[in-house]
Amino acid sequence: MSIEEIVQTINLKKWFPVRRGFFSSLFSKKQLFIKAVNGVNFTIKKGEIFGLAGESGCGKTTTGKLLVRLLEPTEGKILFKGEDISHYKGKKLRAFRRKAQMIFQDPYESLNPRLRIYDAIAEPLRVQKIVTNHEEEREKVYSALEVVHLTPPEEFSERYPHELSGGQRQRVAIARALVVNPEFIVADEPVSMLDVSIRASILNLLLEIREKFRVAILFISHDLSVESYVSDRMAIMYLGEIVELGPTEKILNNPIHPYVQALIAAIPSSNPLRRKRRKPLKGEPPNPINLPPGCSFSPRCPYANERCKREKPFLEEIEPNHYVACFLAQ
Amino acid sequence: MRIVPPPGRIVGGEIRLEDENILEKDEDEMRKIRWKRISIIFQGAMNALNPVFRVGDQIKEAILLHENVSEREAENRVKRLFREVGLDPQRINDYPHELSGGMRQRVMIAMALACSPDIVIADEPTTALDTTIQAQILELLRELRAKLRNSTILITHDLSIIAETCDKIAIMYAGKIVELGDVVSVFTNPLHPYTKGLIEAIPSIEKSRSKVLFAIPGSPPNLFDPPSGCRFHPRCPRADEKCIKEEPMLIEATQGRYVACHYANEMRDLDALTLWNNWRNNL
Repeated sequence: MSIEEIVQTINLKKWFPVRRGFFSSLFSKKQLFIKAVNGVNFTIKKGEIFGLAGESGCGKTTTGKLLVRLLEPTEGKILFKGEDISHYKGKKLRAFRRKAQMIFQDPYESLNPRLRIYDAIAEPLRVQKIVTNHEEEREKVYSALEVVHLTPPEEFSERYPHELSGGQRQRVAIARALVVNPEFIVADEPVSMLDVSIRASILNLLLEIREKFRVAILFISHDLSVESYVSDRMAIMYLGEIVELGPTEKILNNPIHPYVQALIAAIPSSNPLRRKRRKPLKGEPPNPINLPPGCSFSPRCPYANERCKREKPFLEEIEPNHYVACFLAQ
Repeated sequence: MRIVPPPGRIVGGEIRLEDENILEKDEDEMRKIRWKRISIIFQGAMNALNPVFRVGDQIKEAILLHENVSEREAENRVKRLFREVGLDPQRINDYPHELSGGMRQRVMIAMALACSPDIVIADEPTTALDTTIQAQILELLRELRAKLRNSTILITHDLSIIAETCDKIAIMYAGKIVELGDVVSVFTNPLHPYTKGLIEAIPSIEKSRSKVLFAIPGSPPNLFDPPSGCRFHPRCPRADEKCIKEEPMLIEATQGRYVACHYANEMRDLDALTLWNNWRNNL
């Protein structure tokens, strides 16, 4: 791992045991698992926006939560600046969180309605014991509010979340993540709950923050148009695995994996003169408890052959920095 | 549909369905219009279906209520509808939880089409669905419309879906239509400042990355206390005294294009960025 890279995952897995009723547990010994994240490898560079995309249930959010260690991996490793943080606990975990923060999807749920904006942003400072006096605390909170353009900060800091609009709340959530001066932020669908007219301003804010603080961002979104605007490199997940990874422009203009091709073809065009005559992908993702053997996409893939149904393809570099998990691409 | 939930009520205006004002109808007459003339596909198929009844029976109920047919005929029609929306007719005996999100949405579409209505209202029919499933459902709606020749009102916040599927578009802001016209001319030359901003604000994989996305300043108003005059004036760069005092009417700007803006004539061939920049320079 070079100094350029800040986060690396090695064969990262998270399986959730399926809870069963009393009787079914009497009759069958086999514990079933939902394989939410099933062997994921990627690296994120300093100051990079790395996109993670895929349909619901593909394991994007679980991956994001693993990276800031809101979840503990079942198998595999997470390296943060070369250090294995996969099983950190207590003090060490808290020290790590100072460097890695998360912005959640829904700003209506992620802010405590009974905390003033000031306290919501000051909380991480107090937890991390970063500031020693009130003066310093106020200075840090105000400057975080200024960074997210909630000005004047004296006015906004005294309000409660219900007095703010959705876009303003998401700015508070971003300020709260930034106040501890992290090196890495996981942004989980930060614009999907916002009004269309507000989204662009939040995306522009994230780009600005990356420029200013050189912070690395894992940007999780199901919306490839949003990814195309913000991310430098991206990975597409399907059923807990990465199927394609590379520079965003390359993936969107020249997708190799059949699933990624179908996903891009399914995006409605924003220009009524360029409507697509599309053949939508048939079927739906299978149950993540009983994954098909071989390639997970093979039951829906129009090109699948015998080998795809038997053997599992792994990510391979098909051109510099562009990785695809498909036998037909290799 | 006249199903606004209380305490909401219709306080004025008319809804004309082939020269008849349906607001003057009583509940019995209205029941004959619903589903036979106008039907609706609700947003969350998960919540719109009753979890304790078989999906086939729920559609059958709608048919038996509105049409004078035998139970047998109704059941056959449900099977035919299932085939039409791409579902296995065997599945009429399933309960909603046995179907995936996309399949439930197909059931909702089958239900909306059960009495061959003239108008189908599709309220965010794909918002809860994944991109690939969304494409399947939109394609299905398009096919069915071509086949059944009914009119569809597609309600969505996603402008790309409209660009991809609709013929005409109406843009609403704070409870009013601000622009109306055919999709191609509205997208290529939006006249209302809000429409301009909105179209520039949507990210798209076709837009060049180097272009910075435009963000409309401010946020949508609270409808308890909407702004005076033009409701968009607090966020509009062109707004002046007239906009604060006087509400603009929706008037025909050019052939088939309607705009509610006092300065619609100035807006031609002006893009959002220039519009907002001009304003900043004049400050």
